[in-house]
Amino acid sequence: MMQLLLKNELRLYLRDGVLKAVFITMGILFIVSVVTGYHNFEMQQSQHAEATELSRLQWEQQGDKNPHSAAHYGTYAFRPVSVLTVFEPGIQPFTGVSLFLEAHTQNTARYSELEDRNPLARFGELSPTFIFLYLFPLLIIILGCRNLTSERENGTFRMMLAQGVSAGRLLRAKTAGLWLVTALLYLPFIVIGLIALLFTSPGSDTFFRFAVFTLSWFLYFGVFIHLSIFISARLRSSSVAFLSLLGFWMLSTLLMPRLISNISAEWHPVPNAAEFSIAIREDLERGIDGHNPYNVHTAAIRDSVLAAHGVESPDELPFNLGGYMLQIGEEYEKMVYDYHLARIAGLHDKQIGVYLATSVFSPSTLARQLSMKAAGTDLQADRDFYHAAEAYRLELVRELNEHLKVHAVGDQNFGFTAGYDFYKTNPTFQYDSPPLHFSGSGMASLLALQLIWLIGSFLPINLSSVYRNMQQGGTAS
Amino acid sequence: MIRHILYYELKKSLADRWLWIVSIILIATTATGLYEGHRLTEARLNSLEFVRTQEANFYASQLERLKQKEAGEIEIENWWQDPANPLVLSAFGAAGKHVVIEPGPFSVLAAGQSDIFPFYGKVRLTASQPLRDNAFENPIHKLNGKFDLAFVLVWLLPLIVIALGYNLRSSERESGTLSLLQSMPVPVNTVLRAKIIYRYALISIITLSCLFGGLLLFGVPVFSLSGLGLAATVLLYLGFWFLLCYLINLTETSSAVNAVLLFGAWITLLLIVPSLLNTIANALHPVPSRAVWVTERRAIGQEATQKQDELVETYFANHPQEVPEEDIPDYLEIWNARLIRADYVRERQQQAQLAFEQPVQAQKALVNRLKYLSPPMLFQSYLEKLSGNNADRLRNLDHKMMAFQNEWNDFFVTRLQRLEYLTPEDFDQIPSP
Repeated sequence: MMQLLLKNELRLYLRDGVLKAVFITMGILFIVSVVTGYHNFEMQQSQHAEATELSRLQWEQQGDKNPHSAAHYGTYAFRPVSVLTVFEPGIQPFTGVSLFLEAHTQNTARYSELEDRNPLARFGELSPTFIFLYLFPLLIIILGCRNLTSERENGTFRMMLAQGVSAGRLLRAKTAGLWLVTALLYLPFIVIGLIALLFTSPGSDTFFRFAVFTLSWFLYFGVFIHLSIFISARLRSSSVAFLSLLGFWMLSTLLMPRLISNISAEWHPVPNAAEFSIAIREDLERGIDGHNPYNVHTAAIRDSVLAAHGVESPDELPFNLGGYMLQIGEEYEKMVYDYHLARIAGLHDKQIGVYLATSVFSPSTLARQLSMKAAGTDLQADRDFYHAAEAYRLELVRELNEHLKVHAVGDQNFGFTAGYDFYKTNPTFQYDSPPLHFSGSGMASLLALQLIWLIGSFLPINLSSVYRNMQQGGTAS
Repeated sequence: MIRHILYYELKKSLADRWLWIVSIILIATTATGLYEGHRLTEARLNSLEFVRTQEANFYASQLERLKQKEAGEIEIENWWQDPANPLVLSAFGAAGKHVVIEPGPFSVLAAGQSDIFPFYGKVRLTASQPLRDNAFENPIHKLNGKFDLAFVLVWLLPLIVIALGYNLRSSERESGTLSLLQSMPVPVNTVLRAKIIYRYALISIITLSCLFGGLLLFGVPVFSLSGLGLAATVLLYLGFWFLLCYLINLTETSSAVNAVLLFGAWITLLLIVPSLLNTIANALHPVPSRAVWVTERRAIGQEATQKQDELVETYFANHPQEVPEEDIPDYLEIWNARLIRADYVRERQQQAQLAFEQPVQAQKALVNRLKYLSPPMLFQSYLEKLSGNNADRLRNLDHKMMAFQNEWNDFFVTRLQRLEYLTPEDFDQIPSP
């Protein structure tokens, strides 16, 4: 019986003209988004590779100068581009592509893609995520909303009852049918995505990430499948069912994400740039300044170093005091920056907490976060890159200060410079985004919440009142 | 006859719930949007106030110190602590002045691009740069966008129109009253038109009262040409959606189909067309990554460093030094070279910027033409422009800073090269943007 019902369901779907039209439109949009996205990705990747190479050359060939001048001259780290941005650009268009690494300062990444895009780019960017987030649920709603209402409206429900189909069995068949057809419709998208992936000879982590990405959207679709079935079983008229589901779609995809942004920004405000830099300056002034010999703390350290080596003047030390002081200053500065940046990261975490707490209203914000996490285009991925670049900066500056400390001694001290031979031995910045882990990344809690949505939306379908409502609707029609 | 229909519609809607529901939705969403616009504008004003206070305090304290120095109350040990030294007042530490893009009078209307572009920057002799308050804003907020008034007007308003107008004729047919209507001496189309016009008028009145009432509350000068323009555009936009409803109602389709068609139009015009146009524009005029541009800028800097001696020599051949060589302190020599180099770099980087911006401008121009394909895009772009938070206005910060940079350098560099120290009277002459 179940098989028969399921077969009937599928046949009905396959003969649906609206479904075909919508599916073909979505397919075309998807292909356009993947092709243009892929093109963008290739362009960005080659440009970043070129820029990285150039930047390294500029570092090595910066000419003869004091190693600390080189540290001020600095170098750049460019955000890596992953092929998964084709599917889920995430926050990347909004964050800077280049990070300037120099002595004493932790800069924020500059120049987001969006600054150079046309002003209406924020209306929406065609990407697979865009299609999965907004359009796919709509397709499911169109398919699902008149699923049961139409059986009643057409009077076919009574016939089925007469043939011995129970309301419960019909409901299960309808749910399974919608799941099946959604899976069938989703499959071509996955296949096209995989083909695009294969063009880049990706590693196993990329495949794994892609798998989690596709799964997270499938779970999201499930919520809409369940809600469509429930609403169409509960309500009598197709158009009311359609409008109610649309209302939910609006709330989940458009209203809530914006509303939560407003609320979380209001609850956990971040400081402005001027306040931030002044707070940093004040803290820096309290500590060691490697540059300023008149600084009280610097003078105290100098005196203690001189005393420890039993010498009167820095010139008599077996190492360059300047290099030593600069490194101590650098470590202090890092501490100050780390503290203030961690404060901002903490505020961002609290803001994201508001998103999680309010995800009961919107499975879309959950799905989007999951998908960004899977694609490695979320805030955490951005931070990971930032921390790696910062670790590199610290190591580079340390090496430069160490060189000054060890080599600018005695008669070498005055006018000491290092050149190409030294700069080319400095470490290069290499960054590979970390593989996807479920533990410790917030991934598990996001997945759990999405599963709660999925199961939570399934439960009401099995309420006895739904069956009763159907029976009544059935006999009434 | 029309009057009769309108009268009955009014009676009907007063007895019906929808009028109240629509009013409540509009009031609630307008209030939310306005509050967000107000919050963002206030945050910007606070930032500006903060930096201006810092700036004023710095110059006031330097003036105070200068007066003390002249009165012999304090002694200045080093040149970098001397409040009369042009460098101290123009080049480093807290010195410099802020060039700002003030929030416009209609700023509460739309957040626009204010979370992406800087709205103030500090001009100093060499290291001028825009300051990015929004650098610390959660990028997820930027991704989701803001629930501002523009969002309510562009995205939500059409949905209310659709909800009120999708089944004007089909519901008559579905409830069996259409044949009754057809038997009346009035043509059905006239009734339909009257119903649409009634709803158009009603929604316009509710929307405009919510909008203008709210704007007035936040002190926006709505009784102005801009206010009139806003009202006219809202009416046009509402009119567009009601017209669409009217056309759909002319067909013989069921309410459910009407709803799907109208909602389909909403999705197409608000989600699909803009994102497709965007993608096409970006594919036709791809904007290169700033990564390359950053390294190009650096190459210019490096070139300037290599050519420094030559640049300095050329400069002083054209601008002979008025101070005898032996009187020039070491620091001035270093700063002279730095300033000359910075001038050269600035000029070259401006050229590089223009070259980089070519595809940016091309993409913008293309979308500017294409946006006529989607009334919502057109409306959004109008609202952003009216709010003053549009990209063009905010991007202008660069040009404003550049212009002020020249003024700033003109004032200080000549004084510096002549080693002309500032007097307390000169403080009033320090240029302000």
